[in-house]
Amino acid sequence: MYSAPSLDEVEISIFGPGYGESILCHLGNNCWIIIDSCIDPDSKQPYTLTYLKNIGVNTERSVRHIIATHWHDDHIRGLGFIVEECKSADFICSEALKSNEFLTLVSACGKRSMMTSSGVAEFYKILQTLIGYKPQRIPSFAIEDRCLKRILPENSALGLPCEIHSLSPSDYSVLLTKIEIANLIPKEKTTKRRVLEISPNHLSVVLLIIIGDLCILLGSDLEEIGNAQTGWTKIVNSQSRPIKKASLFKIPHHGSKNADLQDVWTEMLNSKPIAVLTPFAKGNVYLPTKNDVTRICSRTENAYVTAIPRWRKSRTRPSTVEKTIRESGIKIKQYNQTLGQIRIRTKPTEGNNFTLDLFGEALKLKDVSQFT
Amino acid sequence: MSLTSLKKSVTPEETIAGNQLSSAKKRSRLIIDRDFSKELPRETVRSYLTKIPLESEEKYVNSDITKETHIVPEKGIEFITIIETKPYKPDYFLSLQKWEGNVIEVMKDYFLAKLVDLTAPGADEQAEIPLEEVSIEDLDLVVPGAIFYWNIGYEDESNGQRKRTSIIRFRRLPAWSQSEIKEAKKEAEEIGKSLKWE
Ligand SMILES: [Zn+2]
Repeated sequence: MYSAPSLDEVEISIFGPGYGESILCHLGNNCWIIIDSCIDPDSKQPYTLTYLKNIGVNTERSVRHIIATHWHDDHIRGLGFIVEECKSADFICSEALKSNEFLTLVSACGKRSMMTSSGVAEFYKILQTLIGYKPQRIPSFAIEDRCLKRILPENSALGLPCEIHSLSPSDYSVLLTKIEIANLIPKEKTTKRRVLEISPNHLSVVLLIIIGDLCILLGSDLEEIGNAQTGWTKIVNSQSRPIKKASLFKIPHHGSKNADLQDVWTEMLNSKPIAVLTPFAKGNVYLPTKNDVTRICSRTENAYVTAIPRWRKSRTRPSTVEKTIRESGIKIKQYNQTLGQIRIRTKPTEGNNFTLDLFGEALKLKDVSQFT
Repeated sequence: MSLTSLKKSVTPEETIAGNQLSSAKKRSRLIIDRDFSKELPRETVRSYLTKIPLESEEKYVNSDITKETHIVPEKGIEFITIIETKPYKPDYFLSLQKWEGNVIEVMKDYFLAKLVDLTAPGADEQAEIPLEEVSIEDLDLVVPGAIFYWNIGYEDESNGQRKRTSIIRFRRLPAWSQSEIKEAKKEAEEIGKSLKWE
């Protein structure tokens, strides 16, 4: 498990316990990208950093880009620490957050930590870290049809051109999000409470990574509401996105129906792509549902999930505490925090041959039904 | 000083209640016509024990305060005054388990909340909490995003009884003030300028 990919080998690793998602990408030549973050509840460290250190990667030098697709708790935990550790990396986030209103929200609510952890507090930490550098690490922003990075073949160990494109948020989504964020800024004399998440999620950054003939589509949590100006419809219909079809797909929003669009599978993906996803659990929602599993498996037999989407029985506490909980009628359950990792490695110069490894709780999506 | 340490610091010599009376007598002649320990928590009795300097002895003995006291000092002897009051509060709470919670969704009879274990940090949990577990004065605070603490422990009552309890208390965070919002806007402008975030 703990061996680094060779310099001409591309790696995509998806990490996810029952709640949380992080993606790691090796573009070749020891150039790494971290997309989102989730933490190990035991060590309190981001999983991605632990993995990189275990395979002998110098995170300070070799992580070149850190991308926050959005600021929901399940995607951002530990990202502040990653920005701090990976000193040579630039920071990229959604254009929808590029507003004075977002900074005001983060300054107001992120600084006064009203809860042990929150997305805005993590963002505040990221901004403080970026400012702390001299000269400052100026962030970049992702929006539809923008090339975030281009490596020319002569500068690549693979001898192949490499490009990272952002396919979202759309102009219209940026506008919508900015209005929503302005509404989240606390108003005078209102009660302080935790910042609520914006739903549906249309600010999320979808990424397309192209290395020679290899194409990877990372769907983040972008949702689809059937509006031609936002979500997946806008991406599919875009006239200016790269037209290459992907053979590797990170399924958006934990496999949920509200992020699914059939056209993505026909227009943007090769047939039977490798599809990966992470589960999610919050409130009465847990993803993917049985229907989501059936739908995804009907589209590709190569679907994998990092962990089993389920709740676990809460940990055992001293008998007096347990007795009091029982008597109070309060029911507690715990997010499944068992980590899973799906690792895909390929040498683009040697054709489309993938080596896929499953670690921890990761499994084939079709096998999930045995456990739920 | 916490209640725990206060409890420990009370020695029989300092206490005039109940069966400790005889040792207190060694230091001053006390006439007590009531046993306060049956009516007031020990700590409360103690908090009303006031030492009065010797030179002001006469003044205090003749003042109105002495009407409230039940201890008549002897001349030249260090004495103590007790003023009778009726505050009631539990003596002591021993926390066994504490969580910080955050309301996710409010349903008809219960609410869903995310819990962060403050006693033994680990994976986050989620709870389904009946609304009847929330005190009436806190009910209006149960809205998505609201923050609360949930404490399980022992409550020692003044009558010496120990009760196992579960207490949910919503944080009454102060409302946003004009200056806080102004300050956030100013900070946002500074961040915006240094990171070219506009
Ligand atoms: Zn998510």
